[in-house]
Amino acid sequence: MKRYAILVAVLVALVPLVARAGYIIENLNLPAEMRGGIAAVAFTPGGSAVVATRLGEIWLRPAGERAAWRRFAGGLDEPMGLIAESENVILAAHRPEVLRMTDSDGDGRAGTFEAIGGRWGQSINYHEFLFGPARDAAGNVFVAPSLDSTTTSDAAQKAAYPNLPARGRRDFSFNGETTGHNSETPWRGWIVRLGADGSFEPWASGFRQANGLAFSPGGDLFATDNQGDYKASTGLLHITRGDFHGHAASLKWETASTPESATPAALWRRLKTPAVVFPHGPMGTSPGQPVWDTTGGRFGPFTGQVFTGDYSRLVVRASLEQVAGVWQGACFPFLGRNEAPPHVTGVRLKGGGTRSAFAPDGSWWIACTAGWGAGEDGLQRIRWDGRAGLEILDIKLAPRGLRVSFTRPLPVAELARTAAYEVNRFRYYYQSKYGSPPVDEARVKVVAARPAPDGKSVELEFDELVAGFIHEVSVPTLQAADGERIANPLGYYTVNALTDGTRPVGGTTRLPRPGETAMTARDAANKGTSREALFAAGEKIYRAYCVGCHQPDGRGVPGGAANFVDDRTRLAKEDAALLAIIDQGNEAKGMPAFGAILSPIQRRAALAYVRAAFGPAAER
Amino acid sequence: MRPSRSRTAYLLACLAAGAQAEVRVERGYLPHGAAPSSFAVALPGGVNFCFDPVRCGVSYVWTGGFLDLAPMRPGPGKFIKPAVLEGSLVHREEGVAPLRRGDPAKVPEVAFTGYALRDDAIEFRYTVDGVPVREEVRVKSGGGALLRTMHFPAGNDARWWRVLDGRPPERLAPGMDGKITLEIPLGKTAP
Repeated sequence: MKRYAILVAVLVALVPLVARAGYIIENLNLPAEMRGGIAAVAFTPGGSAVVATRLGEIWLRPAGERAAWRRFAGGLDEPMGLIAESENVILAAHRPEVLRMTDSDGDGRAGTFEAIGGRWGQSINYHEFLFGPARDAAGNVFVAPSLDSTTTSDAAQKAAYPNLPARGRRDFSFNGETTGHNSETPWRGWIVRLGADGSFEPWASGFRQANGLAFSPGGDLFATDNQGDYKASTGLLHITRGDFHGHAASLKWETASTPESATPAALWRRLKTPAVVFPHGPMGTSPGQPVWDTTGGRFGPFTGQVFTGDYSRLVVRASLEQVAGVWQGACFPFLGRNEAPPHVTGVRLKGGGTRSAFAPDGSWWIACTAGWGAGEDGLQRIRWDGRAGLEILDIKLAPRGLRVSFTRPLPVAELARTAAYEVNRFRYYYQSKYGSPPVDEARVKVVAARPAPDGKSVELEFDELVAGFIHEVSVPTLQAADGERIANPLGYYTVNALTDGTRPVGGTTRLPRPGETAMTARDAANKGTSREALFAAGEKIYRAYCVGCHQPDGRGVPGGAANFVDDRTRLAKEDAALLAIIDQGNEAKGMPAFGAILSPIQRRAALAYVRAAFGPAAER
Repeated sequence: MRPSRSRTAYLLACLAAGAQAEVRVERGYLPHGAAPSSFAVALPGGVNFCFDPVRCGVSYVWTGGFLDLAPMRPGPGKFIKPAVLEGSLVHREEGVAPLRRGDPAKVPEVAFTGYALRDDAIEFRYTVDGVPVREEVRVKSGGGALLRTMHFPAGNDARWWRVLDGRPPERLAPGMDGKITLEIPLGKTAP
């Protein structure tokens, strides 16, 4: 018995030597009496964790693993953001205002609630969230009252809704709204500044659902926004005073707005597109709060980069740079697309995580709420195990292409192979319809690949580098000398500007040309139903979503994703069974439920490609 | 001393409210025409009321149970149905900006600025044409009425009025301490 114990101890000791680096996901225990999903998380300077529940409570847990949660406040109306000034003073953004909650008698519970702001309109429309708060160095607070949705649950509510009480003047007039998101009360669709002096200033317009505001360490304001009408894709937006970010509805409250100034062409000329486009689908569907990694390396090799939880069970990692004074950069899947060990261990990442914060110990906490349908309630902590696994570290603009860097050295000879890089570019329509398919797609020829001597980066030279396009960079075949594959071999770099200052009007969008049929993203997906079109679409989907786990050759990961080639039982199943797996995922193997990510036709296309590329068609 | 009828009702209400010993607040979509994010407040003793932060006034009072939050807070889902009062309305009032300063015919600009919780009361803070007002709401000692006490941190130098729909303006007389107190009886069901 003793010999077995020694053997086990030796094996346990060896595990860290053979296991590659990764991230550990844990569920944090919450008290049973805490009501509702977790809608926000923050840390006080003293290290106490603070969460807001979607059902209106604020809870605080002092620093220390064994400390107990206590209820700090309750009765808020769907709080979705926090600033934890101290153990006694916490700010929360909830629907009607920002509340500054103070525990002045030290009993652990807030006693006074100062309302800040509240000069935007409000109705009972379920979609009237208040996003933020983000606070600048001068103490000004920024929040984003989101647009209304015309969707309510039944005919009676639709009939009653316009007559129900509201705060502020209501205006149901048409202002270019076409597909379901309106600005019915003042300043909906704006980011507003609540001055430290009590002032109120509408700051920037054109947002649909800016579900996350934050200041960068350098003091620039950024926000995420969701795909929708006038919103080609999701993304990370750089916000400055007076910006217009695309959605026409918000302009109703701008005094200079006229019907002539709201034509598609006029709007497009004002449009500021995202600093980093998160292509809708591969990079999520509903991004939340951007959080900068300021841990100084305690969360891995991504210091200075931005992490954003997406409602669709995904964490997006982004990096930013300024080129000719314009913010742009890259984004990558971080968690949720490839959770096969060794890159990720522990429990499965929950869906519904759109709020997050770095803890004083360098771990990253993500708040999850079942919220509006497909998410899950809970609070998760993600820790780095201390060793650098193989990932794309960053993508930056290079003089004639892009520079790609990695977290570990790769063989220089491998890096020098131009065939190792698949680069495609695309942009979107700017249109009032919901979303946009990628348009003007083109394969970008890599004419030279110049590795750095240390094998940790490579400069790619393109045959043509064009501003105003998103560049998809895929490196599915690259691997380290020890055989380790890149955990997430996909990234997207948004070229808003070139180093010489070239910067197109309309950013990464263009208007549909005369005679060109403007389509939504779903229209485009549904159009391609021929066998060839399905295969072509499926190949792209496989490359974007599946290759990280199932690998380019379809052989998967031992103990993880299925090997379609050597295990013929995998594709022997009927289409319906395989589509069900794609739809619902496989929790035990860390496979996401793509029903929340891909349309039905996209799921069929992925299956068509997998069958054609890796196995014989199943008996029907 | 034999307890009065209202005191008996108060004690019974206390029993009905069970362990409710402190002020409880919920904000959201409330019935009877309350503005978005109105307050539903449960005071110790089973007395509940709605404070509307848009009109800055108590809109209605009910006794008995507090609130069924399930329609308003369905958990996963969209917050689109009002909460249900679990008791009987005993007072209701309507009217834009009911507290007015100087000219009762002039609709003032009112702005909600916050609130504070006490052991057995809640204090709302708002401005009327820029003048700060603090309004404390509690159950009258011994029960039987809701007491609304308004005071003015910056001083009271004006005539104050209560203006409700369907009633003539009511001049509010401050007490010796400069505060204005309104008493809402809880004895009968509101229309």
